[in-house]
Amino acid sequence: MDRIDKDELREAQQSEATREQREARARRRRYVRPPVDIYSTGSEMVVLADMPGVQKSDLDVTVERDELVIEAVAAGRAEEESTLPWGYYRRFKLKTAFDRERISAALENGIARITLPKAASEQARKVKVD
Amino acid sequence: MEKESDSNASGRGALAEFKNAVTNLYDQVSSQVTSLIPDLGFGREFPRHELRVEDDGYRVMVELPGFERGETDVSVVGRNLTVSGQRARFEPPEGGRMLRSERPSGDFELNVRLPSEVDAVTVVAQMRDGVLDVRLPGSKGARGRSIDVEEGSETQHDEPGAQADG
Repeated sequence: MDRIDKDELREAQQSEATREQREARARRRRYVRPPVDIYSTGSEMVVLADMPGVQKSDLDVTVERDELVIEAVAAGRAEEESTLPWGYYRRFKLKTAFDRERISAALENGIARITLPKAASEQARKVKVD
Repeated sequence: MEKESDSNASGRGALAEFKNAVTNLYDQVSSQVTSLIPDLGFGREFPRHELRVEDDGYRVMVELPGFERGETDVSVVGRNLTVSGQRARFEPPEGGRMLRSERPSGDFELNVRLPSEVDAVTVVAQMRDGVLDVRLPGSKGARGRSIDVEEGSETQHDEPGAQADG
């Protein structure tokens, strides 16, 4: 008796999880790759991404190993079945070392700005020639 | 250099016109079956937009990342909504080197043909999170007007749990 209940519970949880995964996948199909401008200075690299409709709290930026991932939901669009993108997703391979602790992201008027300070070892240095 | 940019500008104008013709066609189709048509992938289309038919009229959302209120011209004449403006090419700060430059820039003009005439006097436009939201209540009186874009302070997404920017 006890055991059957547990199995049923497990099954219910699994189908719930797969349903959520399926829905998340379906939502992501309506995401687009945001166009970016990227520039580099001696001390940092800055990524600007067009993400109209995204609110600050919905911007998700992660750096794991050598990969920068930008993801954001555009507020309300999935719910309204909009024909506009429901969100944005893009990944970048990082070739230089950055100071992970100080990576920052901001969002203004639908443009995300991600600042990646270069690790001290990568920063351009002027070598004094004697 | 100047000459070249002039010819570029007119080339862009023609291209924009063509794009608008295509997107207007898309509008007319999509207004019937909006929720059935997925992103057809116009790709570089700028600005991306959507026409919605609502109970009390039409609503046009135009994606204009980086734009503030007052930086676009919005006008309505009869069945035509026109949104135009200019987006400057991004320049890196001094000493900065561009590694990638994909974001669209230049002049744009978007023309949306509405399914029926609206009363331009009642049209309200708001800019929020880089999206221009134009509400056009349906009406028989068709007077042309230039629309002031308001600050996006009104909450449009009023479903529970939605958070205001801060």
